[in-house]
Amino acid sequence: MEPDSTPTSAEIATATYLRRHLRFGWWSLLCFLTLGIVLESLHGFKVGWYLDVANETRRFMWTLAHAHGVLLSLVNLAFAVTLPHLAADTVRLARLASPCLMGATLCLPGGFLLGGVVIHGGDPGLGILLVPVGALFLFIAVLLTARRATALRKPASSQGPEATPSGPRKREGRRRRR
Amino acid sequence: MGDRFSRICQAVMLLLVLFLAACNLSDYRLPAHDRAPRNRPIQVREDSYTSSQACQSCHPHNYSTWYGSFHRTMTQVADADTVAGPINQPFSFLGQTFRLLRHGRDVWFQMDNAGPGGQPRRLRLAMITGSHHMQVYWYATGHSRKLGQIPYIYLIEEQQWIPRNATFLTPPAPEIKSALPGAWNMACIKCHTTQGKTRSPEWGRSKVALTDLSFDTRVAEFGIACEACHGPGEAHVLLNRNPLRRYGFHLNGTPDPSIVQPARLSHQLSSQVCGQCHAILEFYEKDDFQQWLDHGYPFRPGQVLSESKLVVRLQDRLQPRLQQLAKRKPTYWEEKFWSDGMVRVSGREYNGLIETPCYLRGELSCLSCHAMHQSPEDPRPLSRWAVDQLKPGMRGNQACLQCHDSARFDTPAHTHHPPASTGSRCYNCHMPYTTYGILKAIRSHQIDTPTVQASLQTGRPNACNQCHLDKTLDWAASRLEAWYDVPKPKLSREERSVAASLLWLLRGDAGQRALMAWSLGWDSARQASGSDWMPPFLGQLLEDPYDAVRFIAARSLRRSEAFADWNYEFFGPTQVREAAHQEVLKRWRGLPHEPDRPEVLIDAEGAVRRHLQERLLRQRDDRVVNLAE
Repeated sequence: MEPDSTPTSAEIATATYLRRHLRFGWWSLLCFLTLGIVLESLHGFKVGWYLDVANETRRFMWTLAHAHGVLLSLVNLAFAVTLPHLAADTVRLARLASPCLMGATLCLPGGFLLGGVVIHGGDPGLGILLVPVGALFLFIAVLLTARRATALRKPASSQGPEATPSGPRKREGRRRRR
Repeated sequence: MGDRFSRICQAVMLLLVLFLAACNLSDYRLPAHDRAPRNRPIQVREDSYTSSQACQSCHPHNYSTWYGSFHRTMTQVADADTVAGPINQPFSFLGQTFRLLRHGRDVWFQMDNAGPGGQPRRLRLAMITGSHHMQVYWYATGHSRKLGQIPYIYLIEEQQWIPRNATFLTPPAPEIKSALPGAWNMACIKCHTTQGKTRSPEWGRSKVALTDLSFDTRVAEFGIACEACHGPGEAHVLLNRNPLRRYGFHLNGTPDPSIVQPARLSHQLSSQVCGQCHAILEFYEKDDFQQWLDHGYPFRPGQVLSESKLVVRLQDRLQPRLQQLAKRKPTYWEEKFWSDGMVRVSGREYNGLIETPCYLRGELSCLSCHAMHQSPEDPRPLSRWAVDQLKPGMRGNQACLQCHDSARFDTPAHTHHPPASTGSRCYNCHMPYTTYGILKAIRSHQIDTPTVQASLQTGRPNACNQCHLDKTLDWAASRLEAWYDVPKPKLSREERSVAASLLWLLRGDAGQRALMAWSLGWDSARQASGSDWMPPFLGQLLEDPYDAVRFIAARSLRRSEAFADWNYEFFGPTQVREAAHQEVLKRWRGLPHEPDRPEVLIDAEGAVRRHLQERLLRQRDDRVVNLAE
């Protein structure tokens, strides 16, 4: 019997999420790396608005924005790479985890960035309120992904064929036949 | 699997929440004294004081500018980083040699040959007082927390050691003496720490000698820290852990009532915050003193200073407490004030301020000119601002023109000096250098108008003659009469013919001589007066009986190019001083100088009129002068 080469709807959806996160991850990485270059330039030109002790909070916030932005961009790329390897209900996972992760990538560094624009002594501006929202998004996304990763079986040598990368696909096919 | 995972997640979350709650609810104060040394004063967070560490995270700029100020380093624990004195560079006084040694982080003061059998005696430095002009070193006596003083003081700018008694204008003493053990615990602590408590359980018991007192001295913080001016901060810190409260104040722009902000107080109350240290103060009653010993000063920023301390003013001299003090020490008033009540010792600027019309009838306060935190807009380096903590522009006439009309006062019609000259600066006429302290003259903070009459009555140099050092009182009186209708007083023959500076320098008391020794080295005065005639008279002061006067005179002498390399042992024996004087005269005779200047006692041949100089010298006011800080 010839193998079925038509992609399933789940595969199409997975591929869509994969493309989305690859695209989003690389572009956001570019943005936050650019932010890093800007911050380095502020250091290079000894810009008081960024470096003076009075603006220590701004410097801290923007450093955090840069660090979180870069890190979350990489997490997006990791998420994209991870998606095809996860268990059968990838789509269900991605439907919630994907927007959460993207929201976190915007809110967390965005909150730090905006919080550093206007500062009140040691306190950042109100933009910082985006940070806990972003943190919650990130928490949900990582929790869901981690749970799916936990559901993965051990490698084929000890657990049989289902633990191979094609395992979920086989299970999906079985379900469809039923 | 899923259930187990959920349980783990829930457990982790619960632990996290409990950890955060514990962090928030726990007392952030650690018992500071548990691991603290037992042989010196310690910092303890009590009585609602929390220390500057708690302020740093929310007020980074204010913390940083305070950190760069000399207020912070008024008292420091001695170690390799804080001691400014050179390590292992010997110095000698009265035939004995001393040096600082370093062992790890510790710094020791070694007196060569002072121990038994000619062995060196070593004292480990425990604390330091001062960091701007000089450092005073203290060692642990080994008796409770009592500190003893190293009898030599290191001058930072001059990079020179001098005997402790030479730093004050005190009567000549045959030997070098340090302060009594416990002097730090009883005296320095008052103004060089934040909320210091001497805590001497034996104090007041009749049979215990002063030197036998034990101390359990503790302070809120070494140095003058945030809470010295803003009041205890514990409630403020605890309340502002709540972000909603903080953002409420940020967004409303309203001040936080849980902490005192001196800039928002009235000009009287804000000045009293500074006045708690920068004033001559006394306790009202003996009980107040006991209260301070045990619990520290009751004054808190924002309160009326006179409710807890007696602000000493000459006009209140008939007050029973002040009469009692004056009776106990007959020189009480003259050690602090000129005879008209103007303060004459440094560090007591509040006393001058409160007698100033701008304060009495206007809103002048310390914060009109000074800023305790450098403004972010101030382009000067932090170290430059820290020298006098003046606001930007306050070195010029802007300080006065905040209130006074520039069209009327900042013009040659008023100043009678060229606009860019130092003579056109308001403070050079209205705040002359008539207070003395830390081996220099310091501006009076009692703003007044110069008159010759005041000089005649009090002996205090007037602004005109302190800058125009080669001019007579008659000259100054004539100018003041012509320019400002100030009545010209009756003057003696010498006051009409001899430069006022030389009258004060030769026949004045030690305080006047010290001010003149400094003035002859003041760049503005040297420009206005010419300096070629000065060396013989500064040379005369090298023989002065007061150590401080000789030291200042030698420093002023080195301002002349010909004497820049002048090496003078100011603490040497009488013969050395006389020889130094003769050497100065000899060198000066070989230098070009203008002849025939009778006001400055230079005759037509360019020689000093010795007979007149000696006659004035014989009139020297040799009464005992003691101008301690």
